[in-house]
Amino acid sequence: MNLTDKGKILPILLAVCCIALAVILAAGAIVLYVDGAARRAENPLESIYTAEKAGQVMKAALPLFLVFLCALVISIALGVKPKTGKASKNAVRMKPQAEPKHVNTIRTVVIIAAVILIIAGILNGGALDVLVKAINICTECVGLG
Amino acid sequence: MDKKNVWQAFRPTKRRLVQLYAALLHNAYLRGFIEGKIYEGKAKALCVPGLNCYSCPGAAGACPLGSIQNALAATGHRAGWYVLGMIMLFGVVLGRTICGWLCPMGLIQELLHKIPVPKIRKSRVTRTLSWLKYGILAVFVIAVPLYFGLAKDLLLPAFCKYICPAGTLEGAGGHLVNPANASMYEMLGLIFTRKWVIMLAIGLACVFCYRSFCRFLCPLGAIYGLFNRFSLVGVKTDADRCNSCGACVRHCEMDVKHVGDHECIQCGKCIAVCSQGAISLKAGKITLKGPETCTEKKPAKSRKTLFRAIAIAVLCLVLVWFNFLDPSIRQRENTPAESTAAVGYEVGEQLADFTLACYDGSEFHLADTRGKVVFINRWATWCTPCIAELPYFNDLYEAHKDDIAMIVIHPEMTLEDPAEFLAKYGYSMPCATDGEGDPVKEIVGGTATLPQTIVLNRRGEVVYNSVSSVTPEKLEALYAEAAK
Repeated sequence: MNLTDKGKILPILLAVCCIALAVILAAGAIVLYVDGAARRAENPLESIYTAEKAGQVMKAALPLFLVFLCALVISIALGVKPKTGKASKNAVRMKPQAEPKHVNTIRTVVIIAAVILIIAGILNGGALDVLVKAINICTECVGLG
Repeated sequence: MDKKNVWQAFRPTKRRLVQLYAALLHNAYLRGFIEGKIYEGKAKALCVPGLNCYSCPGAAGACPLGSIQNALAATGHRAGWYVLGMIMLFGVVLGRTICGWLCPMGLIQELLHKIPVPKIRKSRVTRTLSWLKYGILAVFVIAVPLYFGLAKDLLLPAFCKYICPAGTLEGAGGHLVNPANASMYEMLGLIFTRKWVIMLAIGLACVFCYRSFCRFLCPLGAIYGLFNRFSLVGVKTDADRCNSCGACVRHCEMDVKHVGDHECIQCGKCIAVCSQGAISLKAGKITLKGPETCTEKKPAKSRKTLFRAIAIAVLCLVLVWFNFLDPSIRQRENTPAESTAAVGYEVGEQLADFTLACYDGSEFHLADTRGKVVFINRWATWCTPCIAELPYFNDLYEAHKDDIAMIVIHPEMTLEDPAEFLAKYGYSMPCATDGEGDPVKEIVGGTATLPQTIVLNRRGEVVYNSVSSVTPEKLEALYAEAAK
């Protein structure tokens, strides 16, 4: 395999690393959850996840992450660039989309409507509602539980 | 490859610099990342244009997508004009320029796509998949929050809860990596596992397929896409110059059919590939980015320098304001520390005394509860897990009424009436609203995260203090432990 193959080997190695890393991290979380849920069934005070156990999963993924980093640095140094996902040559050929008629009028109407809605929202307490939600963490929403 | 060529190959473009700038503005509260707390100032009433979780420790504004879901869920109480107006304003002024230039999630996706792996090309399949985001918008952002809000009076921001990778990465991840939030691990369970796996899958997809989340899943992009054709800022095509060669569409990595259609993120990459010089990025009649062949007068170098100086000054001003000058920061810093080591909110410490007026007219005085096991629960009407666990607290209270002192406390700032909310369910446990400035929240070491449960033994010592949901079994086990 000669040096010109670097453009093929490194991307494949990086792809394998990415997939493997994602699988390890996902599988680690699932294993921790199954294990923790079983422990919680016996003792309701047990935590399903702990920082230590999460750390163990990260440690397991660390060697692969280092391999990934090395491959990434080498590919940067060798100038291996990602091939972009352009469409094939038989892509569409068509006339540009025309701007809608009265575009300025539509725009102005929408801007005025938006400003009226914002003012109405401030008056009916909508802005305060946004503030209340934004300064409190909804644990369920961010995925904490 | 020599150093110069490496730099040329990976040199950040102007768009990348703008994306970084916008990401920093979206997350201007940098001390949040160090302290592991979110920004709680009044500026958070303003929505930011891009998808940026407002539970991220750095978030300086409210996420428009989270806000619109909450507003729709609260339709029965109050119409969500404010958020709707904000989104319309962002849409009509910027359209999907927000996705291409300002959105922090867009930046993350593009950086992931920089990893040089074999890429998936756009095709009919990806074009079909790009309609998925409209389905997600209809179901997860509109229908589910609206149904649960109107029919069950429950806040269920379904997109945030089941899909949003920004929430998992910035909100959950941003807190969990900070050692100050070690107690948050206690609340992790099925929801976290599910969202973690979804986030990894989306991240992996972005490595192989350009902006996968943006193209196939993001409902905010779907909304802004509706405004693309008449937004003030955007990529425009000169029909007289265009020869319909299709180079722009072929070169584009998004699933566009035309330059500037609902899938176009207005990144302006097509400007360079148009041999006719027919494409330019415009704000009204002003050309922001035109072809090299553009005959229009380019701004003078001195004006460019002035513009850059203003941009840097604005960034510095915003960072200083959010991190040092905002009144909410100073209020937090001026909160006096506890005077004796024995008083505190950690396990083994004695909770400081407080008194609250309950909704039933009685008074809860912590010092009067000695000899009983004390349960303190911090909840809120907008917090779905809090509402779900209230019956468990009521059942526990009913079962051990003579041996338990209990109070459920709602934060001071609210537009709902917690007493009226609780009256519907007929709970018998004492309920109160925290005092001005939430003093009990400070006493129990509370944060912006709810629900929080604190259990004291008969001597008033903390045996449990955690921000997490509880089950009936867990409450019984806590009672047994505290009653020893």
